[in-house]
Amino acid sequence: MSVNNEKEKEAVNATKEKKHYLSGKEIREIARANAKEMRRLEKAKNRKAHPSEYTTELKDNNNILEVEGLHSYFFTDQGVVKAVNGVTFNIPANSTVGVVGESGCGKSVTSMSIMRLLQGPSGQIVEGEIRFKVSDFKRDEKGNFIPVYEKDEDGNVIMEPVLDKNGVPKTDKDGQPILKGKQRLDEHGIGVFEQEETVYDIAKMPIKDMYRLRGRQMAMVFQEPMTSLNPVFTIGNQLDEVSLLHVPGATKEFAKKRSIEMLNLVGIAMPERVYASYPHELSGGMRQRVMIAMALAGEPRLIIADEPTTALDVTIQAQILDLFNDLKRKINSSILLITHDLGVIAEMADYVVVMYAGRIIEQGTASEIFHNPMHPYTQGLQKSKPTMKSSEAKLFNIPGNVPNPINMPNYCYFKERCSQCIGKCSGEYPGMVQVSPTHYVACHLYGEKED
Amino acid sequence: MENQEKELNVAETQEENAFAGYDDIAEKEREEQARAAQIEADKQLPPDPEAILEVRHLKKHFVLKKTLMGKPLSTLKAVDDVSFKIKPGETLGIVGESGCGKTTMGRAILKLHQPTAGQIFFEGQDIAGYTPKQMRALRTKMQIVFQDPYSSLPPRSTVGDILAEPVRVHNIVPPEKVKEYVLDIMEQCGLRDYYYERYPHEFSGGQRQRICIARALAVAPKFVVCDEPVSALDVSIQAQIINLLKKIQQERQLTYLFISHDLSVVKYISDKIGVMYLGSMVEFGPKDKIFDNPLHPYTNALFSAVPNPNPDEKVERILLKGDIPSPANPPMGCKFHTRCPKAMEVCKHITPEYREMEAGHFVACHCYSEEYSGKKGE
Ligand SMILES: Nc1ncnc2c1ncn2[C@@H]1O[C@H](COP(=O)(O)OP(=O)(O)OP(=O)(O)O)[C@@H](O)[C@H]1O
Ligand SMILES: Nc1ncnc2c1ncn2[C@@H]1O[C@H](COP(=O)(O)OP(=O)(O)OP(=O)(O)O)[C@@H](O)[C@H]1O
Ligand code: SF4
Ligand code: SF4
Ligand SMILES: [Mg+2]
Ligand SMILES: [Mg+2]
Repeated sequence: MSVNNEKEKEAVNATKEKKHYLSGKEIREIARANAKEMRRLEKAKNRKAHPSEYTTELKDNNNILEVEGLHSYFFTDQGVVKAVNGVTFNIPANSTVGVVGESGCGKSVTSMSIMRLLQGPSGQIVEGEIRFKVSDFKRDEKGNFIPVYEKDEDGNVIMEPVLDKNGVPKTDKDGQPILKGKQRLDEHGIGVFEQEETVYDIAKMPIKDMYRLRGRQMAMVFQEPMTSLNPVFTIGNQLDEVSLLHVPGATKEFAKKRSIEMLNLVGIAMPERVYASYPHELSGGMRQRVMIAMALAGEPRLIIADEPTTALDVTIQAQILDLFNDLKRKINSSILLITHDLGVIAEMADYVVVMYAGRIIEQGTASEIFHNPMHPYTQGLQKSKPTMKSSEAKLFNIPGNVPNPINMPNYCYFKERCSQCIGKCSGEYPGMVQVSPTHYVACHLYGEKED
Repeated sequence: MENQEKELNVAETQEENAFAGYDDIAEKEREEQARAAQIEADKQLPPDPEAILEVRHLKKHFVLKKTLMGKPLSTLKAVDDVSFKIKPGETLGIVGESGCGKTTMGRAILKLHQPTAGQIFFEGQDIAGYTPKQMRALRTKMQIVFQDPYSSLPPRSTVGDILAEPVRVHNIVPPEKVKEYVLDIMEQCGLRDYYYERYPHEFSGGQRQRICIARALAVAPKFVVCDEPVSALDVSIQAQIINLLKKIQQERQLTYLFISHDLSVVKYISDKIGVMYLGSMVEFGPKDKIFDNPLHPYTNALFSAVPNPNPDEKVERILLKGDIPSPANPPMGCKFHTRCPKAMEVCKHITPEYREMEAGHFVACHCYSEEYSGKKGE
């Protein structure tokens, strides 16, 4: 890195020539065009809409989530960053889908799009559908939840007297006790309400309605815990809130008990201390586990975990992965697991999606991706991993860089770095080719039989 | 009420101990005196001239509760008596459970936390007592890549400014060359030139991590604490960064303290390895010795938990059972005894000595002391 060296100087000059800066005029033009587009999308986000407007159907009812043709862009003054550029995949119920891909390829933006947490006004979902099966509380005409009642053997609702504040049965004007149906209680002693399943297109939902889904229906473990923990509130404060919001009828005492229980579950020693601590007083891995506890506290049906174990040692990582699997078993949740740790993917995932530069380039079952990676990028990824056994002087890494997301080429995005390039690769962007009932790849090497 | 419970517990354990033939209170006193004497004796020694960094009996305690007068009521011993040396051009890998004090140790060495006690010799100077002003002169020589990239980058500066500012201030290259120099480092870290004008929030997690690495390397340091520097990177870029770190190390005799949970990465990059548990170093030695012949039961358990990147093979793991103790209230004797599969009676009462088993390979465990390893049956 010393610039004294002649040769390096040349290299530096070469990089200097390559770059192109925009003139002030160009930037203003881009900004104007962006502003118009952003205003339109923001308006749609903030509109009021009846649920029927975004209720839809799943293509396959075994899925819990279907993402189709998702495009999420950032409108910056340098141009439009197409961070997610046409992504299609499904998450079947009660399964784990792993996502791998190069740093910056759009994994987090995909998951933030599903949560509808893209930072506006510059970050927007521009196109695509995100169909999500919601199991929400059923409401009566007045908008109240409908309790589930205990029934006797004959199927009749068991009745019990209504009590007043002092625990004395209330009576009507004839002196008869007033009766009501006995509500079923769950293992925490909290009343159960009737639920119903509907499918929403999240991409079209007004942002306000999303609040109902986050936490209980879907929850996210963020890649950088400090971005989502509030530095001025204690961990306990922030954890309690999840229970208070998502468990109907939860009291403060219940919330605290549950928070401590959750901290225990994620392997935190002395949960009482951590409960009373502020985020900056915790280690990186403790913050990450607090985030996980927060995401799991609502017992969501879909957990999106963005690099959930990067700050954890392998023993605690194993414990956390078990915890995810427990929840999956207990309430049939599904997991979208983003990680660069191929070992974690191998252990956890049923299906694997490989992303590159905002698109999916290969997907299949975990075993297909590991034993028979087909896309040259996936193959390169497999080769780069230092293993406990390897001892080469230099690690293999895929040479070159991704193209600039502002000016994507119209041929294969991996072409400049690919060692198996063929003539066809300079042509159109390769389409998805099915190579087995579950294995798909987007690469011209496998295109012959199709189209 | 809490206090009462604690007292009860103490009484109970005391009874048990009397039964087992140990007097914990006397033992504790004896240990403390011996340790204080050791620290005093080591203070007199001159720093090792061959080491670029020598840490002796480093402690960092956080005060959790204070009395009204400001006296500490309960403290958390995040780093409790750690000693080691690193030679120039070497990489010391630090591994250990989440929350065991790795980050705190790294920060204390750079004086980003004022150490509670101990000596830190950097290039022969004890910097433990340096004032912030004195430290500023050392800042270009000692750098850190923070574990949490997002909160360590100023949100309102562009990447170009973040990287160029320290280069300019410390006159690393002539002013007219600064931009070229910064673009070159960015390129080496896999950051594209068009990122120069962008703000930190406009990046992905892995891109931010690389900005932090570029910032640390830009001022041509001698010693860098890398706290989980590649945890957010995919394996290919991870390989690129590790190759870069190694290349620069060879060119400039750079020394790294490399903290990571990824054991394959640690194994690849390190010359020496230190294993920490609950604020203490439990095993330390040359990489090959640690990986081929791990001695401490904790090291063994740690290595067995590495996930296997083959979905069809399920591996056998040593699962650690028992309560994970808190650094605010560490167990007596060996701190690992609550979870150790090999724990003996003596482990509950007497702190194992940190001793050299073979050249440069240290371990703190009673299994390797002739005096105690025979007592197992008791
Ligand atoms: N607010 C933003 N403005 C402009 N560009 C952005 C913004 N946020 C993200 N990007 C860009 O979008 C692309 C995708 O980012 P994303 O965070 O999804 O990557 P990722 O796959 O999660 O990577 P990593 O593994 O490094 O976390 C990146 O190139 C990034 O620079
Ligand atoms: N400012 C602080 N105030 C109080 N306690 C703290 C503070 N900083 C750290 N601690 C505590 O010190 C202990 C060690 O933390 P440290 O960040 O050093 O762990 P670590 O080994 O880096 O863990 P990880 O691998 O999870 O990052 C933790 O129990 C943490 O809660
Ligand atoms: S389409 Fe061509 S350039 Fe792209 S990955 Fe396949 S072989 Fe390589
Ligand atoms: S001293 Fe005892 S408890 Fe500690 S590691 Fe050794 S055997 Fe286990
Ligand atoms: Mg990300
Ligand atoms: Mg840390």
